[in-house]
Amino acid sequence: MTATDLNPTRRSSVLRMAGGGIHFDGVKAVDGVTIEVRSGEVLGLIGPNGSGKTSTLNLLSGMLKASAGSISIDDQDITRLSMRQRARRGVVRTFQSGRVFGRLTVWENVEAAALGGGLRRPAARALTAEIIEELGLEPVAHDLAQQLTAGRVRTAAIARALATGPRFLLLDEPAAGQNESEAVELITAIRGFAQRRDCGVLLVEHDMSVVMGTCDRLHVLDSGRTVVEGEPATVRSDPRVIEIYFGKRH
Amino acid sequence: MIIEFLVNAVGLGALYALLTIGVALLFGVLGLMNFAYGELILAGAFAMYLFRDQPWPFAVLMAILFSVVVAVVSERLAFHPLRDADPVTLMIASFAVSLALQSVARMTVLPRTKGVPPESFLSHRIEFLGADVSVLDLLTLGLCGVMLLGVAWLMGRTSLGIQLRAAAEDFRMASSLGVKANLVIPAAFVIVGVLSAVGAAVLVARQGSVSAEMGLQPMLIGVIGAVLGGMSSLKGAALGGFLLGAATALLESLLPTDLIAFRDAFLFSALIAVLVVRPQGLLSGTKVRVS
Repeated sequence: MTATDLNPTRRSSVLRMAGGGIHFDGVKAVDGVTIEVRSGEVLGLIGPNGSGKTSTLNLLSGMLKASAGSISIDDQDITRLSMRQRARRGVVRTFQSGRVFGRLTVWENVEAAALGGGLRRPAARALTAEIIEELGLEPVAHDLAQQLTAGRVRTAAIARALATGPRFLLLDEPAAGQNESEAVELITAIRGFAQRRDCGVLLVEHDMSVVMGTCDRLHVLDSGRTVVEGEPATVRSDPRVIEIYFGKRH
Repeated sequence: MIIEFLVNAVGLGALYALLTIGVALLFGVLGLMNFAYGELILAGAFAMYLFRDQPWPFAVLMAILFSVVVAVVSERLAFHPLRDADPVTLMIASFAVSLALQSVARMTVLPRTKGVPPESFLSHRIEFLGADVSVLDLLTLGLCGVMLLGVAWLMGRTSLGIQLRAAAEDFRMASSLGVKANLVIPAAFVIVGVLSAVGAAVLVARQGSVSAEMGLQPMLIGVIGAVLGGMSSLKGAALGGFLLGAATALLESLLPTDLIAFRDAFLFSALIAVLVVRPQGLLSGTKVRVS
């Protein structure tokens, strides 16, 4: 049974950037990248520092305007839409910094987003409870967000993004600062949630071992260009990936 | 004596807290330092004057109606078109609204101060916990206390309150999460209207008169209390207002008669001292930012 079968009301769709590019001061940060995020899957976007991962995410979210290429949801072109307009179409991003409402509790942060997404109170509360449980935020659910540790703040920001009911969720290093097993646990929880709700997740991550077990597909960038994309096992054994990614460590 | 003083001090504290929340709420949600707040109080006070021969609770209801209507209309006409303007523009606009409303009131219905004979039941004194206190002081305490509890409930327990607090803390972030500006902003104005009307009812009962300038002092109290508590935190604002009111009452009973005229000098010196130590206000938390 696929995720789509579980949620027949929402047809599966694709967030796509075709030949997207952007340059800063003449340096091509992203250069002709074609990337697709499909609903219900987790796509890991990896590559060495400065390879254009975050810029690619920013192009998809609308935070950066592409200087080349186009971005679409299914057949609908969204290249010219602002970040807020894209958010209204279900393309939601979180920030590495994870900003939350500090004077609201974790629960209220998530519920505010669920209410903002248009749910009525009982449905919003049910969704909030579900997300808080799945992301392991119960112990701090009724603490003020400003009292949380950095890692929890980031998780709370993701919980809040999930509560808006996104079609595509773009996560910039959601597990930064956490150890590998915590990272895998968090991303696995996000993946489970995304699959049940048929939401596509783009995950920017620098740690190869974290993405291997948690992503459905991987997309590898180097110097702003696509090196390879495909299933984790295939990508891992690709000689170019070994050279640019693992090769540097040895 | 102690009880009498406490009822007076806590009552005045609650009244000031009420005034302060009205200022802080709009500042939080809109970035609007609303100098027209005093005229919302004026609208309520005018209703108290207009319906002075009716039963007191009815006059209070009318005051709420008047203040809310003025609040909502001023939002629609003056602040709605400026929604994306910067805080200074909003503040200047609120000055304009304030002066316009005050002038209209002076030209039409309130060219000079009008007396509002105190309700006879308010001037009674009754026995309360063994002390002899005036009904007016008890009413101030009770009414403002109930309003504060009501605001706390609304803000803490309802879906509107959660969205309002989110918007008050970071409006852009809240709206990017889908919290609707067209819901929270008018709602904030309605709440502020209700608060200012109740404040007006109590003020009119305490001072026994209504004038076009009467909104100035409570507006200043609201602004100062909010600054004292921390502008962007509603709890902080309520605390700031409360302390301001309680300190005022304390000074009134402690200062020797010759010095009572200089009460505000003592009060505001203390305020400056607090702000030197905590310029961000008493409860203003730092923004959560992790990098």
